[in-house]
Amino acid sequence: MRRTLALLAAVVLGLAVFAGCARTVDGEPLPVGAAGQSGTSDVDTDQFDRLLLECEVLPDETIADVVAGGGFAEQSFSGAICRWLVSGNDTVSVTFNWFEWGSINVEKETAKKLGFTTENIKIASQSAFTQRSPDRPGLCGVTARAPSRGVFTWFVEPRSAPPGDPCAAPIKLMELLLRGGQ
Amino acid sequence: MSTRVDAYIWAIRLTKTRSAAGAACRGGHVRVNGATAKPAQPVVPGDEIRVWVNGRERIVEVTKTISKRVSAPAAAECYIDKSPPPPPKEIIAGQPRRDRGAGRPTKRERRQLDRLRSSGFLISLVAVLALALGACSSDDTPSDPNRPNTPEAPAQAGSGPFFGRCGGVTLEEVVRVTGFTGLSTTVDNTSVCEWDTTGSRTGAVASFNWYRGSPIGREEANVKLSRDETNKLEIKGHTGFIGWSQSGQICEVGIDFGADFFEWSIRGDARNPRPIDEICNAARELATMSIERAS
Repeated sequence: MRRTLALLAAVVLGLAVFAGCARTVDGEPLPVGAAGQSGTSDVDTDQFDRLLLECEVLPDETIADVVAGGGFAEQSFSGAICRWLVSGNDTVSVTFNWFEWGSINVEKETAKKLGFTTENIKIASQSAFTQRSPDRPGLCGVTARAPSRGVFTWFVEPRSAPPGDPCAAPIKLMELLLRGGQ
Repeated sequence: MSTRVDAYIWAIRLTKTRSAAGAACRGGHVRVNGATAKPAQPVVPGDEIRVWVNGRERIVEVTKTISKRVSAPAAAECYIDKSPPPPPKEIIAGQPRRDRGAGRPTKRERRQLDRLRSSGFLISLVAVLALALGACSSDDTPSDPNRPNTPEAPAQAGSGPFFGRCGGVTLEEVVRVTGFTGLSTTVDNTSVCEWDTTGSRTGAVASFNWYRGSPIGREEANVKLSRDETNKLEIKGHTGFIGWSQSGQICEVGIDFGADFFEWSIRGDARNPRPIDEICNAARELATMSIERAS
């Protein structure tokens, strides 16, 4: 009897826990339009830390200095993926990602599947890896664990292939970011 | 190269000691590719190992075989952790637990437990329920002002589809769908492909952006705060958003895949404005192509 009661209670508990998270949404149900749209976005813009500030990681001048030895960096895309276009001696595209739920392993596997060669390194005592493309010698990306959560990636893509180590610039950007303490 | 499963699960730190690893195998708590494994069962990269430890199941995919302990970061390189996230603290707190070192219950304690279970159990059940329901409330005060109610990952990062290079779409196809003549590839990396008509982002630009382990809500909030209008969108059974501004000649489509999402962002030439519908149709068509070509 006691056992049956306990079992019953467990079932009730299970149902209640699942049902407990359902919530009622106010408003008129809208038919899905021809274009697949259904009403205005109801995303809560207060629930994300650093919203609209995701790309405020390093000063634009610093980015220009590191990737082009000066010149001018202009932010061109923002959010969890940020981009800058740097005009200096060469034109350079810079990409920065902060994937807050991301992991080093997923980024490395993806890089390999996309044909990049990876090499494990350490930057500011954090485990990191570089990613290079055999057919584009000027290109290099660096991914490291983010101190807050998730992973950071910097990619530096010069339009021409300048001499020297292509990974020096993204490693330097990562080092400045990690040492700056985000 | 293969290695023994007991040595492997110890080396990647699923068990604290080598002997506990052997005991877990003999106890039937270790499965390799779904079959219960003996301690000496060999494992090779690609195998899936399931181990029941510390009251939860850990699922790992072998990427490199090791049989000796190495540094924790090096060990983490040897497997892909596919374990489900641990249950929330409220559920764990609701489970009765004896103090460490208290040993087995005495006869007297057992009788007390029996009495508690028959009478007080329903009361404690109500308490657990109240806790569990409280956890769903969105009115919780954030504990850290720099990190408001940031959502937890609904799945493992990277568990969405593999979209391939540039979302599976070529330069020629982007030119055809957008009608932007003279595009060239200016960014091509693991998360972004960007095509630009001028090379200096002063004309029309298109980009594919692949976010692995990032809440789509963050991007949707970004778009909502910076574009004229942002709507919910569904393509091929996948939900997401579409946001645009006519004056900025920009339209962005984001599609949700659990912990991952992608976004196609299309911006026309402001000196040569077109109806925003045309630009949004291009963004939607490219998103559909990426979904269809994903693996």
